Amino acid sequence: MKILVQKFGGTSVTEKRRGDAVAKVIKAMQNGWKVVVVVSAMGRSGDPYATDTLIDTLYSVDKTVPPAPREQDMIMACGEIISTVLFAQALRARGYESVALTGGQAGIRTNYEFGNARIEEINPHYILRMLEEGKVVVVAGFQGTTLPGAITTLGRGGSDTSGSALGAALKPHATEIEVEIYTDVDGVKTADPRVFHDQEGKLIANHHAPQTLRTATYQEVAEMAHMGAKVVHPRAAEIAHQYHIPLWVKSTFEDAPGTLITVDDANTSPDAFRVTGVTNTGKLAYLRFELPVFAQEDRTQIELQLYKLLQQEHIPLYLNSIDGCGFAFAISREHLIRLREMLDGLVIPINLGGPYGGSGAQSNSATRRRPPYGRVYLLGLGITGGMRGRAYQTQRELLKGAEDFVEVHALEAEVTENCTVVSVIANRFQQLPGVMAKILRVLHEANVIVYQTADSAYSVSALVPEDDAKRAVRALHEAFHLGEGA
Amino acid sequence: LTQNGTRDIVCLEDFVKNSTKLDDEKRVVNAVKEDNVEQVSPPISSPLVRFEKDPGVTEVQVQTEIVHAAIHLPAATQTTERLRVLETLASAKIPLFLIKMQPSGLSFALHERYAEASENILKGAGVTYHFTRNLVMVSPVAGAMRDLSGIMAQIYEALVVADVAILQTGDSYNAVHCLIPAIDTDRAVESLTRQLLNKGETPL
Repeated sequence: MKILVQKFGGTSVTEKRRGDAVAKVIKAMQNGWKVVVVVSAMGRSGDPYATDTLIDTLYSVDKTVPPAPREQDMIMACGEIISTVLFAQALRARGYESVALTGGQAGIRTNYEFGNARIEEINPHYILRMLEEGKVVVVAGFQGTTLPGAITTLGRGGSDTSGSALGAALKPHATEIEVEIYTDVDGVKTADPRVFHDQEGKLIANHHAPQTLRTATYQEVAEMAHMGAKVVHPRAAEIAHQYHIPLWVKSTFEDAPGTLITVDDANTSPDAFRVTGVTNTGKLAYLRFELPVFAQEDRTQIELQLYKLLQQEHIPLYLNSIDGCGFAFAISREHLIRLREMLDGLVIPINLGGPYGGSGAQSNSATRRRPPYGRVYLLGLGITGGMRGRAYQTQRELLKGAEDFVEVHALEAEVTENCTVVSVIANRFQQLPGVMAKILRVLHEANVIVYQTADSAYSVSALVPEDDAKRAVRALHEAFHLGEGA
Repeated sequence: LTQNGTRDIVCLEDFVKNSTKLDDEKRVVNAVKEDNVEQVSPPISSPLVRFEKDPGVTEVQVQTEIVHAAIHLPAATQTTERLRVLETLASAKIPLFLIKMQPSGLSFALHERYAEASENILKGAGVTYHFTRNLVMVSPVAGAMRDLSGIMAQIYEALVVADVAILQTGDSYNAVHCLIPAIDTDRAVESLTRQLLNKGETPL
């Protein structure tokens, strides 16, 4: 049998718009598909059964007591379950037999990571049985159960992941299988259309509106999603890729063909080497640490100590780079205050030992050493503009007393706040010489400062001032001729 | 961890997986009986075939024969000079990666096969440069790498423990790239593998 998995997001299953989604299901059935529907919770934050609203309800019991992750997942899963039942009822009202299933009833088994569970296994036998009986199967997205039956939620992109994974699980039992992800846009766009329109909704002069891609590869879509585009969640794309499931992104409210996400095949695809889109993501702060010339040999040790501190605070870092006189990285701006508290005035010891030898196994108690007994680096992480922090100043005074015994060196960080990353998605970047040069030329001519760059197999990114991000996206989109009719 | 310690953990994981598999098989059989279905598919994934990658590093990739180029440019004209260098190399179809803006100018990596041509171009362009040859790029790969706090600390720790110098780093959504001397490749990969891969489902 031909099986089609159709996933509908929150805006597609509200009372007002559900009819459009149901029409898509009926049309697919009329075209000979057996249909499995995956639904999200209805509406967005603030709506009665939206996930955020349910969490707020739980917290309203006592805001001072954090809920148990297990119970929080139970209440979060309710939004999808309600949506499932109402969708099944809507189909029934149109004369189509349907059955509503929770994630667990659909056979989705996950690990025990409440709030961000991973799908381990799907037993699709009950879904198959229902399909064979001619029913439309409506499955609650974003959820599964552990082996003993506790409800889990799948975290960000959970419903997309459910849809993709169900497609993978049903594939061995289908003569043909496809997964359709329905959203409120008509496919994967070359850029965020909102960046190209003014407040009145008019296209900004001298620009071409982003176009919908006819096809895209799993890698391109995963990269775009990671770099800020709100398309299919990368987890869903990765599963579809792994199991070779054709994945469509379509609009619930239009009949446009949408975007087909397929395998990247350099041998057969004319688009194997191409620029696909421009994205923007992240509210970042960029930190650059300049080391004294004589201290370069200590750079790795200093970096290691810093990164360990960031690890303890669960602060991810991005855009790492090393240069001849220091190192740099970016962090999410939300972490900057904490980082400043942690690092300003911090003392990092290197090879510190006492008069009778260095630390660790190298020490030799038979030889008395002369000072200095190692080096310490005092970090200064002030406000933008280079002023050192108060903790740095205090520590500097305190360490004066130690200078007879250890070398004390200042290690000051230059902090650039209000940065963001603009990325050009370039399939097989390394086979496309000149992409970085073109990006830098375009941004230079658009008067956009580039603090740093990064590249991967599928994207080239520039760290730019946040205020210039939209202008940068528009300029790059034009330069790579990505717009409609460009 | 010692090698013995590692082996013990792997064995424990295998034990858990095998136990799970047995339980699953029993569960499927029971489900079949309850529903009275003759032909029922078993779960399509085994413990070895996961729907989703576990959080954390899944492999360490190595790209060999890499050269690192540091280009020194005058501060006053740095922005335009960077563009000139990159555009000149691009017009010669030389692929570059790990391209970084440096306070002193610019740096990038390229494959050894393009090194000679690049040197000729840079000489012709009249810029001061320094090439470091005989490098490899080791890249621990993970799903959503950028969301994993602590991964950089672990990579650095693994390389520092193995006494491997890190010349440059880069990161993408699924990998952290480290440029290191080729002579240290085996030691680096062994240390990264021990540090990052043998951790079961422990989030990084």
